[in-house]
Amino acid sequence: MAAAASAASGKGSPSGDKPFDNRRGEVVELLKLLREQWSAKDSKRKQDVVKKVIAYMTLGIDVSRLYPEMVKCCGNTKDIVVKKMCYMYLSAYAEQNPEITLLVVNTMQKDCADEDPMVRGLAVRSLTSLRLPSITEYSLPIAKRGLEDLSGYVRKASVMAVLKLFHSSPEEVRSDEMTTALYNMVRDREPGVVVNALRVLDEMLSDEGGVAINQPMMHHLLGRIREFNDWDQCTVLDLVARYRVEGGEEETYGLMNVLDGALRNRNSAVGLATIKAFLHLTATPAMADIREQVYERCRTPLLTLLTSASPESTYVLLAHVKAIVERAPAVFADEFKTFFCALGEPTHVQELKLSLLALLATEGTAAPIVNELCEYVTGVNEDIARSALTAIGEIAVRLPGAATGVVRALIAMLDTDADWVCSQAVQVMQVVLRKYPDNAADVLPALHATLRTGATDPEGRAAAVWIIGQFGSLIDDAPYLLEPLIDAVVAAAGSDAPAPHDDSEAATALAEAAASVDVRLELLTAAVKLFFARPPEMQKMLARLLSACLVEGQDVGVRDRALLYFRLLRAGVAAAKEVVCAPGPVAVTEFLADVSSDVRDKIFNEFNTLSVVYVKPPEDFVPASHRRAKRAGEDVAELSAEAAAAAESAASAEATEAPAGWDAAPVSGAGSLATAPAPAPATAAASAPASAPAQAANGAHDDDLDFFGGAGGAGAAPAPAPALAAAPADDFGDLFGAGPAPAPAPAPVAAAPAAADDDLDFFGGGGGGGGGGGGSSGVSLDPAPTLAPPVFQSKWSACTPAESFSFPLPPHVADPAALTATAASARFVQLAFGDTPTHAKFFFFAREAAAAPGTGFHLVSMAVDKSTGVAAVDGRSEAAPAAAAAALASLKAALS
Amino acid sequence: MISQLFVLSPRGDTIISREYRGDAVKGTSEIFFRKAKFWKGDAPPVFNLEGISFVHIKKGSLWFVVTTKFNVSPSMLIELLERVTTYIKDYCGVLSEESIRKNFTLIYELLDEMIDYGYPQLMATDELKVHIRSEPVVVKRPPPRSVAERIGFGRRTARADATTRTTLSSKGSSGKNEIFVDILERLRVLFNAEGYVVNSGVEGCIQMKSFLSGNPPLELAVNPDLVIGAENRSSGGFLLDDATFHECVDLSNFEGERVLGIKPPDGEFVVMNYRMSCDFRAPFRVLPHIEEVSPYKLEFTLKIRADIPPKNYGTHVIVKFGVPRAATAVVPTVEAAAAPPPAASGGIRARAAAAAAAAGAGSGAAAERLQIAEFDSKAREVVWSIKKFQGGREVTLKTSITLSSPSAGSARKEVGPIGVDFEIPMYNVSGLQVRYLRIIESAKGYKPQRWVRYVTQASSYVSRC
Repeated sequence: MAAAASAASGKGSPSGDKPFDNRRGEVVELLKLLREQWSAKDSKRKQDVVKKVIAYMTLGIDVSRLYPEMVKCCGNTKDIVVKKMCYMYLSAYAEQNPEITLLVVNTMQKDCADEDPMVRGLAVRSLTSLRLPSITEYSLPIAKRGLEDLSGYVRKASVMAVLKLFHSSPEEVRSDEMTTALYNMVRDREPGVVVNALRVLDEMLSDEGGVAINQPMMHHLLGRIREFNDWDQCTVLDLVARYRVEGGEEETYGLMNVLDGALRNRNSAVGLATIKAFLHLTATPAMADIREQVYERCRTPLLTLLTSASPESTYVLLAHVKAIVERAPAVFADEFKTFFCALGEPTHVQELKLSLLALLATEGTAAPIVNELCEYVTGVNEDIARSALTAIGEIAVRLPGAATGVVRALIAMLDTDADWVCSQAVQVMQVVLRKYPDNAADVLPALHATLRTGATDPEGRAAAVWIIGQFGSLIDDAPYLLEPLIDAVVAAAGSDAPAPHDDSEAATALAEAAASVDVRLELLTAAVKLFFARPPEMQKMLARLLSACLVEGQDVGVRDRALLYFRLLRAGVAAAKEVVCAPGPVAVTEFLADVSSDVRDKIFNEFNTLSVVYVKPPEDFVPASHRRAKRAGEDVAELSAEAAAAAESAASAEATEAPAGWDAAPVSGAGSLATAPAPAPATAAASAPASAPAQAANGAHDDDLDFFGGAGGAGAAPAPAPALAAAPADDFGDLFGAGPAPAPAPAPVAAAPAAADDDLDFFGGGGGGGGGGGGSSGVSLDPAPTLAPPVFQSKWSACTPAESFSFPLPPHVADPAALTATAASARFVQLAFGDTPTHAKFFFFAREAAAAPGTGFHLVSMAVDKSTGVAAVDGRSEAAPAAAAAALASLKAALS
Repeated sequence: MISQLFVLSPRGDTIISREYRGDAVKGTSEIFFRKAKFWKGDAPPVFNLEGISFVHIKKGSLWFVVTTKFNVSPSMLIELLERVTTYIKDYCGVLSEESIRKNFTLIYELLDEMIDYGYPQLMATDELKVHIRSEPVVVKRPPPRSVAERIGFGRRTARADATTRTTLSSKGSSGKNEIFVDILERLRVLFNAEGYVVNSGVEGCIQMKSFLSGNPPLELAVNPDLVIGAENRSSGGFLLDDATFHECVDLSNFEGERVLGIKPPDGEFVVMNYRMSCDFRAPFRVLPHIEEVSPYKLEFTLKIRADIPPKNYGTHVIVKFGVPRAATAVVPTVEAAAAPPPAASGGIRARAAAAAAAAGAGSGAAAERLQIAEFDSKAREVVWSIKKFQGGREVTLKTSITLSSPSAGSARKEVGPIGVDFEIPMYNVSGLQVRYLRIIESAKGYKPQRWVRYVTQASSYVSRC
C-alpha cells in the first residue's frame, strides 16, 4: 500500500499536479471531516470518514498529509474497527513522519497493556509494523513482554514482532538471550506460537543456515504434527527436509511413518512439502531402494491432487511431477493418459503436459502418445502445435522403436496448410534424421512440395535444404529440388539481370526464402555436398550459386562461407570433399539438453520451491539477502556413496550448534556431535570437545559455516589452505551443488615453494604443528593443491581404488589437529573432518605436481577408530599406480 | 515470505492492496498487470520479474496476487490465495468486484489476521470470526449469466454455489439452521472419432456449507461397499482410486461402517475429494460424421445422444468445435422440422436458430428445448447451445463448410475436436451416495434443514473427429 501511495505522491509532484486536482480537493475535504470528528464520540460517521481515508489509500491517492489527524483520531477511539484502520494507515506512512509517530507509540504502548488480548495483540503487531529504527527502544521491551503474555494470540503476534524489529534494527534484537527465548518458545503449548518461533529463528539466523534442529526438537514437533494447521505443517515439513537424521535408519523410518498421513492432505502445499521431506530422508545412498519406493508412494497422492486442483495449482504440481519424472520416468509411465491436454486448459499447463508426455513415452506407449500429440498439432493454437511437434521429435530421438512411426506422422503433417505446422515438422524431421539417417529415403520426396509451394518459413526451409544436402544421394532428382531455390538466390543477387517476373505464389515464396541468410547458408552447404555426390548435374548450379553469393552487398556470413567453399574447391575437389563431408558424428545423442544434469540436481534439491517452476537454481533469481545459507547434507538429490560419507562427516564437523535449551535432552547423540569449526587443516580448535555449551556455540555463529569454503573463519582457524581460503565467501551455499567455480585460484605448482609465504611454508613442511616435518622429500607432490568439495566428490566416484590398508596411529597424532598437520607435511590436504563418539573420519587429497592442472589427484579417506587408535585408509588415485602407491606410502610414513 | 498481497480488477485497478514486509518496490501491481495481461498465451500463475516473484490466481475476472523475493513454495502461496478468496466469499456472500469494494475494511481485517509479516497466521474460520468486527455489506448475487457470457469464464466458481449467505450472519440468531451438502462430479472424457472412449475419469468432491448454530458434530454415511484404492479391493464393491479428507473429518468409523465423523467449521469446505478412473457410462454420446461433398465443400453432421435416465436432463449444454482455416462460409443448421434457418453467409456471422419441435420427452414448452447454433468467425468455431437436454433424447446439427481452395481432403482433419460443456443436476456417474446425514446431540426443537444435492459437470468432455 505504501508503494501504491508513494507512487501516487511521486506523480503528485509538480509535473503531475493536474490529474489530482479534484482528488486533492477531496483530501482537503477529508481533512476537514477528520478535524470535526476526531474529538467527537465514536460514531458511525467517524468510522465512515476513516474508511474513506483507507479507500483513497488503496486507490493510490496520497493521503499522507492527513497523518497528524489520523494520529489524533487513533488516540481517542475505542472502536476497534476504527483503530485497526488507523493502525493500518499509520504503518503505511510512519516512515515519512518519524516525529509525529512518537505520539502514536504512546497510544500503542497503552493498548499493549489493554485487558483485551485482541487489543494487545493488535497493538504489538501494529507497533512493530511501523518500521522505524528510532522507536525500537520502546517497542523491543513491549515485544519481549508479549512473549510471556498469557494469551496465545498475543504471544504469537509478539514472536512475529521480534522478527519485524530484527529487520529494522538487527544489532539490538539479535542476542543470545533472544535466541534462547525463541528456542524455548518452540515448546509453547500454542501451535501457532511454536511455528512462528521457528519461522523467526529461521530468518534471524539465516546467515548460519537458519534454525538449528536437533533430534529432541524434531521429535517434539512431529509428535504434535496433528495440532498444526496446513500452513504450520508446511513450515515443520520444511525443517524435516533439512534435518539430519542422527538415529540411523530406524529414526528415518519412524519419521516417515509419522509423516505418511500428511501425504494424503488435500492441500497441495502440504503434499509437496511431505514429498520433499521424504526425498530428503532417503537421499543417502544406503536408502536408494527406499527412494524408489518413495517415488512410487508419491504417485497416488500427486495424481489425486492433480485432479482436484485449480489450474494454477495444476501448473505448479505438474512442474514438480516433471522434476520427478526426469529422475524416475517409470513411476508415471502407465499414467500417461492423465497428462493428455484437457479442454480449455491454459496454455502454460498444456505446454508442461506436452513436455511431460515426451518424457513419459516408452517403447510401449509411444504410439498412443504420438497419436495424441498429432491431434494437438492440428489445433488452433500455434505455439501448442509447435511444442507438440517438438515433443514428437523428442520421443523419436529417445526411442528408436518410435522413429519410423514419427517420421510417417511428420510427413503427413507437411501438407497441412498451416505454415507453422509445416515449418516445425521439417525442423523436427531434420533432428530425427540426424539420429536415424535410414529414414531419409521416405522423407525426401515429400519435401519436394514443401520447397516449392513455399508454405513454410525460413527456419523450416533451411531445415529442408539441410535434409536434401545431407541425403541427396538417395534420390534421383535431389539436384532439381534445390534448383528453384538456387535460381531465386541468383535472381536476387544479380542486380543487372532483372529477375523473371513471375508473380505466382510459389515464386514469391521462393524469393522470400532466398532473402533469408539462414536459408542461403544452408543452401551453400547443401549444394556443395550434393556436388560431391552428383557432379555433372550440380556443377553449373553450384557455380552460379557461388558467384551469386560472392557479389558485393551480400551478407558477410554468406560471402565468407561461399569464399571458403570456393577456395576449398579450387584447392582440389577431393581435398574439399574431405573437409566438407568429414565423417563427423552426424547422429545426435542428446536432444534439447537445455539444462545440464548438475543444474538439474541443484534444482531438484529445491523441490517444492519456485526454483522447480522456473527451472532455475535459486541464485539465478533470488537476491543473496533473501537466501538462507545451507547446512550440510540438507539436499535431496542423491549423493554417491562416498560423497555422502564426506557430506556426513563434514556435517558433523560443523558445530552442530545445539539450540539453547534443547541440548539437555535425554536422547543421546543429539547435542554431542558438536565439534567446533574445522575449516581446512591445522585448526587447533577442531578438537574442541562436545561439551561446548549451547551459549558458546551460539556465539560462534560467524565461523561455523565455512568448513569447506574456509573463507571467513580467520579468527578461529589459523592459516587454512591458501587456495581454499581464496574461495569466494559465498560459496558455502554450494557444498554439493556444482556451484559457480569454487576456488579456481590457480594452484601454485612446482615453483611456488620458492615464493613461499607463511601459508605455503606450512605445507612445505617447514613449520607444522605435528612435528612430522619434511616428510615430503622424494615425493613429487604439489605443495599446495586445491580441490573443491564437489570435484572431490566426482573424482572419488570416478577413480579406481588404489590401495587400502590399516595401521596403528602413534600417540602424537591421535589428536585430529595434529593428524591433519602431519598429513599436511606429507602434502596431503584435509578436505573434511568428521567426529563421532567412536570414530573420527578424515578426507585428504594430494596432487602430483607434474600432472596437468586439475588432474593427478590422490584421494584418501581415513577412518580412525578412537578406541584402538587404528587408522583405516582407503586411497584412490587418478595418477599412475606407482605414483599413487608412493604417495600413500609417504602419507603412511609421515603418520607413523 | 510474502511481500504484498493485492487484488486487481479486470481493468488492472487495485481494489485491495496490503503490504506486509515493507520490501516492495513502487508500482508492483502495475508491473504485474502489464506483464500478465499481455503475456503470449495465458500468463502462468508463477513468474519472476526483476527479482520479484509474482504468484497469482484468477477468480472470475479478478486477479489475486502475492509477491515475494524468497524462494518459497509456490503451492503454498497459491493455496493461501485460494483460502483468501474462499474466506472473502464466506464473509461477504459473493466473490465479485462489487462485494470486495463494498467490504474492503472487512477484507483488510481478514488479511491482517490471516497474514502477519508475510507468514500465514490464523487460518480457520472459527478463529478468525472472533477478530472480524466489520459488518459485511451483502451484495446481491449477479443475475444468472447469459449463455454467451458463460462461455468465457467462471466455469468453476459460479455454478454450484450453495448460497450467498455470509458466515458472519450466523453469529446472530437471525440465520436459519441449515446445512448444504453437494456431491459434485466433474468428468474428463475423450472419445475417438468412432465414438469410443479413449480416456476417462471422474474427479469428485463432497462439499459442505454449514450454517448450523453451535457447529454440532455430524455423521455422514456413504455407500457401504465403497473401496478406496485398487490394491484394497478384495471382492466387488464400489471402487474409488483415491480419496482425501478434510482435516475436520474423523475416519475412525470409516473402515467398518463407511461413516465420516465431521466437526464442521464455519463456511464452505470440502469434506472429501475423490477420483475414479474405472469405466462409467458417459452421459452424452457424441457421434460426428464428415462428408466431402465436393473439393470445396464439407458437410459435417454431429449427433449427440443423452445417455441418462429420462427423468434427468442436462442444462447449459454447449457444444463447440473448430472449423478449418480455409473455411469461407460456415452454416450450422439445427436439425429440425420447423422453419428453415435464415442462412446468412459470407463468413462474417452465420446464425441459425431453430425451435426444435422434434418429439422429445413429450412434456415441456418448446422454449425449454431452444437450441441455438452460430458460427464465431473470430474464434473460428461453431457454438451450439442446448438449454435443456432431456435424458434419452438425441439432437443433430448439420454444418456445411465452404472452403476457399479445393482442399477438402486435408481440411477435414482440421474439423474438431468437439468439446461439450454441460451440467446435470441431481445425477452423478460414480454412484457415490450419501446414505444419511445425521446431526449428533440435537436438542429438542433443533430442526435443521438439510440440503443434499448431486451435480455432474463436464470438466473436459471432448470428441475427436
